[in-house]
Amino acid sequence: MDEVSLEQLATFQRQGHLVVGPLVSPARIDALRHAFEEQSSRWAAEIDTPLDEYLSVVSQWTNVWERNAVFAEQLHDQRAAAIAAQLIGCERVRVFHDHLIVKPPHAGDTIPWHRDLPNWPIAEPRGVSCWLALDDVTVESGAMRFMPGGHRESMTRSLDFLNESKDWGEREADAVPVPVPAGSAIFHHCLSWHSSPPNRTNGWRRAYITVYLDATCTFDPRRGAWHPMAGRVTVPPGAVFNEDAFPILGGRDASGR
Amino acid sequence: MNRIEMYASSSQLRTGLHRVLAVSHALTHGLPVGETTAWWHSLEADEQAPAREHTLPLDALARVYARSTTRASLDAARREMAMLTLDHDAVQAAFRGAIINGRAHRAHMGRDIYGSTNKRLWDLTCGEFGTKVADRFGAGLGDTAMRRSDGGPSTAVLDALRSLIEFDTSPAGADHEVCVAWLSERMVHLGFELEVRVRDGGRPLVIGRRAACGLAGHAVLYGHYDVTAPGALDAWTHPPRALTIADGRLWAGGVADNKGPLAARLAALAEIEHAPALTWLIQGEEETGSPVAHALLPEVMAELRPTIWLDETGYHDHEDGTLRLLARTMGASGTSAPPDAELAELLRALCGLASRWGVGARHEVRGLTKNVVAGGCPFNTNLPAGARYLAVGVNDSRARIHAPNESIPTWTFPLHAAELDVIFRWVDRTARSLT
Repeated sequence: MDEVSLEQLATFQRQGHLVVGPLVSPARIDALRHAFEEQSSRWAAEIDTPLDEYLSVVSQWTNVWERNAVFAEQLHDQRAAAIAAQLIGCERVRVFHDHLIVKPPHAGDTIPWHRDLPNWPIAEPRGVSCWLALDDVTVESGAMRFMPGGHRESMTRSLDFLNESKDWGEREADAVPVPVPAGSAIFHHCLSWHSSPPNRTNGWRRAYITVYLDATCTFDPRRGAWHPMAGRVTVPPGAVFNEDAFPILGGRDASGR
Repeated sequence: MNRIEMYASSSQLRTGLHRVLAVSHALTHGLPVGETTAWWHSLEADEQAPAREHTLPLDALARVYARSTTRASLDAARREMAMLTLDHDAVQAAFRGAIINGRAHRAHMGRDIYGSTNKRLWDLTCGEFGTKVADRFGAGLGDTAMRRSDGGPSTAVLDALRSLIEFDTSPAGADHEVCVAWLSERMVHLGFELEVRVRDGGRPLVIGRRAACGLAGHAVLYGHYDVTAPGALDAWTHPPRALTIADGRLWAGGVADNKGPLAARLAALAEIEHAPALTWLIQGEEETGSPVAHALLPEVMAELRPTIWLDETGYHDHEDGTLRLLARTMGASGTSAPPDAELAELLRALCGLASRWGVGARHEVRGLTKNVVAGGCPFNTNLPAGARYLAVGVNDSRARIHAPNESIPTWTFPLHAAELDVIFRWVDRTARSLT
């Protein structure tokens, strides 16, 4: 059974992003928040740093699922994998990586306009990210912004987030903020243009992101050499990714087979 | 490249923090005559070697930046650049954030996103300061550091040097004319107008004049294309009439005196975009008493009023690479006086540049030693009173000039190109301030 309707699929294909909500239950969101609190305490202790100082800046952690069972359970959510497969238009999906992105209260950093695929060592533009909100995300707390239809435009080079952003000119007015409640997810295409403003509220803005690829996607070392996952690829250029680091998570039937 | 990128923010930040320390120290400390000066001399003993190699870790750099002597140096340099002094508490807080970030990345691939914590420290300490230093002194002081083990002569330098070495321009050699033709072609290609003067059957004196390329002032360069005879060939490990690259050095007869420095400057001038007006005096009888130059240079040089006179090369100590800055302001009757205030500023900038290559600098109030031939060097003996004289270049104290197995180091070539850029910008600034 398809998880998204034809209308939702058409919206995704037109805009490059789709809000699915709720994707997970309030109970699971509570569990994920609690897991983050425990995990971040462990991380802070690991480098002998007070937790409030450790969490004082906009941060991300990659491959959280390998360290934390609660996030691993979410990563293997069959409904999310089925939606990803349907949006990509493939039978099975594998994980490229997951990451937690956290904007603490009043964190001033902006994430500039960018696309994801130019930073990834992946040949085919056949990936989607599932951006699961762990908190209610408002425009003020740093909701993601998208440029509708940007994913259909030609491939671009990777941008240096510390020095570059996309200048849209008058087209900036077409950008849309996408606030979502906790438990809802934004699925977005790997070539979608997106950014996020600072968190100007007293609350946290936490999101858990799973990056899904068509299981037949292949390794392209010509880009993304600096990406942390590039070092975990053990197959030659042009081959599908190694299962140990990039496992197949599921697909359009419940078994994922 | 005076910026920090998300793909390499940690290493670029560390390089930038070393650069700021090196340049700030050089610009705000004097160069006592005869003493070797290097910014890392003021550090603890165990910090000096990594500081010189730009490899102090971030926590060690934080301690250095916290010291009162460092704070004073940084603030003085910023005032020199017409900048506000640092908020040192904010700098230490930024260090703390960057250090935590580095630990988190190493421990569990996490925390700060895309190097923004590193960028905060960079913006406070390196970014604007680097831009202002680069604008004033050149990219060599404001740009990415090099180490002695990095880089060497470019392909263009080596190609030029191979050609020069193969010309037999020893006293009994037959290639002086063809060497002059080769030099002339290269110099014309660089935009020089040439006057080739001959006298009484002597070797030609080449006078190249180039109009300013975007910078004010005037610099005179001196050099020579003749070499001494190689003597007994069995005393040479490498053939004297062919260029050999071995052991981090270039080997050939005349490679230090003066064909290597000539090739270095030819290649550097092809790369340097902005330069003041240049006059380049290149003679062919330095090793045989310079009769043509002694006859012609008094009149030629008397007509020149450059901002600086650059001798044929300069030297580094071969043990540790220390740059010898032979610099003086000419007194009456050819005596050497200490550099005037303007030339002293150039020496500080060159000291800062050398420190970015991990070498110290030592100032000596004298010219190159050239009293081995009767009558001395016609360039040195005809410098007018008040002339600012400087000898810097690619040679080192292992060069063995006029002896078998003459050689020069390779690492000095990119440094000398950067030195010329710093010198040319100083010429521009000095000339403008005097008008």
